[in-house]
Parts: sequence; structure tokens; C-alpha cells
Amino acid sequence: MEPVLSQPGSLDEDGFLVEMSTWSRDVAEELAVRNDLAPLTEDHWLIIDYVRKYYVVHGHGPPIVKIAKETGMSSERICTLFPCGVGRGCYRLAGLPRPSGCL
Amino acid sequence: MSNETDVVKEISAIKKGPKVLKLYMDMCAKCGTCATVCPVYYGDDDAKYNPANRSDLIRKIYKKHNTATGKVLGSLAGAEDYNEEEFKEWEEHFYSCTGCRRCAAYCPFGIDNSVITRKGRAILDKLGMTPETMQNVVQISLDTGNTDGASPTALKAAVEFLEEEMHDEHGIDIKIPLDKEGVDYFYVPPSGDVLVNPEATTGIAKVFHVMGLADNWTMSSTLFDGANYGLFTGNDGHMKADNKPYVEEAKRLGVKYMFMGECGHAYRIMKMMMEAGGWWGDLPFKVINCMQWTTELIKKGKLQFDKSKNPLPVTYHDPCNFAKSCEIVEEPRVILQATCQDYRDMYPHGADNWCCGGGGGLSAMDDIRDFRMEVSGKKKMDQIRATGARYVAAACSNCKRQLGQLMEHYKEDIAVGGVHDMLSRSILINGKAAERVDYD
Repeated sequence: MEPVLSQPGSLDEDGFLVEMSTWSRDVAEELAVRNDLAPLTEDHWLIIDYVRKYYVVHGHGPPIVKIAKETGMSSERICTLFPCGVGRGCYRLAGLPRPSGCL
Repeated sequence: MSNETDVVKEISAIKKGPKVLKLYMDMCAKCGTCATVCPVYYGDDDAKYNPANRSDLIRKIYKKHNTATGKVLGSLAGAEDYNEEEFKEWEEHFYSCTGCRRCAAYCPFGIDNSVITRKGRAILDKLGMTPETMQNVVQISLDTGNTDGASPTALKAAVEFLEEEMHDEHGIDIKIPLDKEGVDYFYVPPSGDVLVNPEATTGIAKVFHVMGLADNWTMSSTLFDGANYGLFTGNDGHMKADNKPYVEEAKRLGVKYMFMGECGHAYRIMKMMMEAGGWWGDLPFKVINCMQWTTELIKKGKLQFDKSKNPLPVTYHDPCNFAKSCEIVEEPRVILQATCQDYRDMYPHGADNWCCGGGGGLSAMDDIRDFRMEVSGKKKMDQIRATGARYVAAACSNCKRQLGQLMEHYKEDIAVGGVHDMLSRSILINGKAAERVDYD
């Protein structure tokens, strides 16, 4: 169980993965449990997959309105799926590094 | 190796430095008023969180080496020498003050403990003891111009998308110009406002559009984050080095106004320190703030809104840098009252507000997350709950991060965002507000 997250130092103090490369779908499921978001639905996955795809191209997570447009979901729906918001919800589950500074 | 020589030297230099800090070294009646008004001490009344005790870490060494009574009478006169064991705890002490300056407003002598905190941090910084998280943010910003290290490509992609989004909302083109020379306004947003929380930017773009100024403003594709952590680490050199590229960019663009976004400390540095202190000599532009600008337009009746777009109860958290150091208190309220159906103030507020608990850069430090949630942010959470608001606006990314974490920690379903965000959702363009009903 929890082969990645049980390693000490795999998460930072804010619950973000320290190494993005350690992310997998199983890790995301486990992160969902830790963040009270389990079980992940198809809509969660649609968003997580999009966020990861965007990050690879831009080196930065997408804004919520962009996620809304690309996934066809309303911002309200996204906030319901990830109550902590984009950065602390979607990015964290998608394994993106914690943005530096005030974000 | 002991840091004694360096620490004593830095503290003794206070004698020849700015008069105000020198006065703070001499005065303090230990009356305890500061503790009773401090957000940290409110959350935990441990003696180490008493602002006067924290400031005494520096004050007593100063007295020991620089006052006749301190030299002769020692601890009887509040003087004590450097202590290596105690110095090891300085980082914890000086990074548990949010620098909110609430104590300064209540102290009978007017002692501003945030100034002493910053001195403590400056000494730590000189000795390479700034917490790693803070040091990283400073370095990323010095390297890239932006504290989140985002690239121009990422910004351009986001801006392009926001323009599409505004087109969908209003059925017309609303621009966010990039790198445009010869315009009047250079917009400097706070951290991440374009990339992650973009509604304040669309709000501002819409105001420019309505005012017929769509072609008269610009953002920079390389410098789009006014945050400046040199203020928080106490390193003046870094603070100025971080500031200079923005001033140079404003000159290069040839603007009349450096138009600061919803970031308290960025505006404070730009307006109250850089401009007022003449860091870079005479400037060909003036520093202004977006909230003052929008407020003036609302008061002149130039902007119209459909408040029904923002029906939920909304409150405003005063970022300390805006409210206590820049006197920007009324403006965000004018904007929120004009754009929201149910605006509610928390009490107390304005210059008497309670800090979010993440001020002074603490918000970026997740190694003290528990402290920020359970101690320094406790009062703010109580205040927000008491309003019954479903949306708390804060004109500061630092506050927003802290408030967002508080909502998560205390499992509160209260959204956190900016001020112009609400404007973006309700402003009338050609008689119509944005066509979207999906915001929570």
C-alpha cells in the first residue's frame, strides 16, 4: 500500500508531491484520500489529466477558466469537485510542484 | 563558530542608523499593550509570542553594549549580553511575527515592533540564516523577475486565453495588451493573478475597455509579479534589486503611470518606499493603485454594474500593508459595495484590522503551517465566520494563500478571491454583464 506516499519526505508540508516524477494514478487516488476527495470520479480525472498536459507544455498550471473551457465543465462544478480551489486542489492531485511565493 | 561578533556589531550599528529604530531600543515600559492586540498572542498566550519579549531579544543586547546604564547595571537596566543558545532560536522568533503593525497603533510610545522584527530578520539574512523557503522565493524572483518563476510563454498563453474568455462573456473583443510602448498605464499585478486567479486581471481589462482606454495600457510579458520578498527577509539590497527591473521597464515602455494591482506589499514598496524615498532619482511616471483608480471612476458614475451577478454575502479582509501602511481602506469597500448585493464588514476593520496570520511573508512558509492555522490565523477565522460571508475578498496574494489554507484547515465552505474579481463578474459593458452564471 502507499509505496510512494509512505516514504518520508515524499510530500511537502502543504501536501504537494516533492518529486513530480513520483506521481502515478495510484498516487493520485491516495492523495485524494488524504485530501477528503475520494473516490475520484471521471470528472476529477478529466481535470487532473488536463492539468498535467498543460503543465508539460507551459511549465505552469492552467487558470481555472482555462480548465473550465477545455473540459467543458463550469467553474462552479470544478470548485465543487476540488473545494480547495485550483492550486490547492487540482494542482496538488495532479502532482504539480507547489507554486513558489504567495500562490 | 559563534555569531556573537557579527550580531553585536549589527545591533550596535542601530545607534548610528535611522533615529526611529534607535528610539525603539530606548523605550518600552513593558506595559503589555502590544500583546493584547497581537494576532499571534491572541492565538497562543505563550510569553514567546509577546511582541515586547521578541523585540527584547535585540533590545537587551543593544543596551548591554551601547548604553551607560546597560553596561553598568546589566539586567537591572534590561541589558543582557549575546547568548549563543538563544540566538539559535532567533529564526523561530522573528518568523513568528507577521509584521502586521497592529501593535504600533496601540503602543503608548508608538513602538512599531515590525521594524524590530525586520531588523532581526536582516541580521539572520546577513548570517545566511533566512529560512530556505523565503530564500528560494527571493532567488527565483531575482533570477526571473517573478516570484513564481513563470515564463513569458506561460503568461502569453494565459493572456490569450483570458481574451478569448472575455469574448465569450461579452461577445466583443476586450484586450490585455502586452509589451506596448508609449501607452499611459503599466499594470503590475500581484503574484499569480494572471496565471492562477485571473479574474482580477479581466476585471481591470474591462474597466480600461469601458473607459475607452483599451489601447492605452499594457502589461509586461517578462515582469508580471510585483511581489518583493526582500521586504520580508530584511535584505534591502535584494529588495532594491527586485524593484529596479520594474522601474526600468516602466521607463522603457514610456508610461505615465505605474499601475499597481491588488498586492499590499508591492504597492507599499513601490509607492511608500521607492517613489517616496527616491531610490532611483526623479521618475518620469507616478505610482498609482488600481483600487483607488476604479473607486474614483465609480464615484464619478462612469461604471455601471449588475449586482445580481454577485448575490452571495461578501466580506473584505484588509491586507495590513494596504490598510496600515498605505491608507487604502475605503476603496475596496466602494468597489465591493457597488458590485455585490450583500456586502458585510468584519469588525474591527480598516487600519484596526486583524492580520490574516500570514503577513510578513509567513504565508509562503508551509513548515509553520500549523502555527499559521492554529495560532496566528485564529482570530481572522473567527472574524470571517462572524460575518456569515460566503466570499472573502482580499487585495493581496499573501493573504489569499493564508485565507485559502484557513478555509481548508477549518473545513469552511467560503471562497477566497480578489476585489476586481467581483467587478469582472458584474460590470456592464454595452449595458450587459458577463454571460455566465457558473461562478460559486
